[in-house]
Amino acid sequence: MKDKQGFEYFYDRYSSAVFGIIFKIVKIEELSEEVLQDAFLKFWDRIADYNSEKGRLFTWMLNIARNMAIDKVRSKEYKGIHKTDDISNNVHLYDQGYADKNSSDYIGVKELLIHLSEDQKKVIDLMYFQGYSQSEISEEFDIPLGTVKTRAKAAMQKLREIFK
Amino acid sequence: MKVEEYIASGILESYVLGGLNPIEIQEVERMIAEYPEIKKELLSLQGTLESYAESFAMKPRAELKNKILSSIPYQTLVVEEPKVNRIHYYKYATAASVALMIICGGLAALYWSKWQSAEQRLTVLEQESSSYANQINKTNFKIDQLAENLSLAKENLKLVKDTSVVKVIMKGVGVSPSSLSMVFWNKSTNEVFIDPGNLPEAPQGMQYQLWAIADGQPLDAGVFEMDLNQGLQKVNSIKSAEAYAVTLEKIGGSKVPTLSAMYVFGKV
Repeated sequence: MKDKQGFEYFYDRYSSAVFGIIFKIVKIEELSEEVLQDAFLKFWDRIADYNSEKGRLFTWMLNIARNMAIDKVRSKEYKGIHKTDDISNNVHLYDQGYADKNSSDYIGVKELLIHLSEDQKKVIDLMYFQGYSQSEISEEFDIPLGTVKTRAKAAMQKLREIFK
Repeated sequence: MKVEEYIASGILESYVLGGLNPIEIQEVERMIAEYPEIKKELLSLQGTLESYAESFAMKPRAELKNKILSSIPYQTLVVEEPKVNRIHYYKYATAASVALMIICGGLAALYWSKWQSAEQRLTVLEQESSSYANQINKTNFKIDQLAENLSLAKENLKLVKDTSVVKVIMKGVGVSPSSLSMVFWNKSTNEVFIDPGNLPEAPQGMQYQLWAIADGQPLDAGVFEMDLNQGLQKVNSIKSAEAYAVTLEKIGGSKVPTLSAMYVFGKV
């Protein structure tokens, strides 16, 4: 991957997935693009740190992108934009324009996800897309820690069945 | 913890979802490194989450590709080949992977052998240190014993040198003519100490008892042990005595001496 052509291939292969997860978190086109660029720079910088003993490459990339997106959402810049209240337009535009087209079975997945309970969806959303830890969820939403763990496990097992 | 229990606990699910704190993450990564079954489960969960994440895939605007690719600082590469075609690229990639595999294999073997010899040395050192520890324990025990003996000897010496202490030698009589015992009697404090000397071992259920004889009447001066390590043993205090005697009595002593079982006798 550490050469120009290799990296281009890498970009072609992964940019849609990475951008998808960033946009899912950041929800604003402009800022999502900023994060995408920063994320690919970081992949380039840090690829030597990637340790296959700790997991898969794509997971490593997704986690970097996800953390950067969550940081962006928590930044002052983001909160400022949020106040101007034009976020809904952006979301709308992007949802209409890009989503679904790149992933042929997206609709199918969306239907399959119906099989997850609201609680299970919420725990994934909070942990994976909003960066909450188990104990933060437990405290903030007044759910016993054990219940949070059980839901996270059940949610992942459901996803596993869906994407088998 | 058993591997199956660990997998069933749900901690791996929270790990892939990013819901653990740094300490928990370290623990999970330690388990992954140690147990291949746990790693396998983790990779499977990561695969699931990758599929889920991919379901949100969205192609970024085409202009971004150039913008991003041109922002990468490629110059950090030492060698840049301007025209490498795909086939060459894969050839190099394959060659590089093979080389990497060989290097990794070599390193692994090297580290494994280093680790093995380190392990062996550690075992030897552990054995040595445990045998040293044993010796030190034994030596310490001996030192304790010697110190005890010394303090006992000092006590005894003090007694012997004290001018108000009278030494009474009791010689063997009828039952055991060759026996010899001694009494040290401090006339100012009335304290009495007995040195059992070479009295024969008391039979089962029996014990030696010291008597002081004053005005022809025996006074109980107490029972004592034959333990030689104890040296002088303190018995009952006696105000006045003309003579001392030892008889063999039942355990705990008697009120009156069994004269037929008198072992030693000595006048003050």
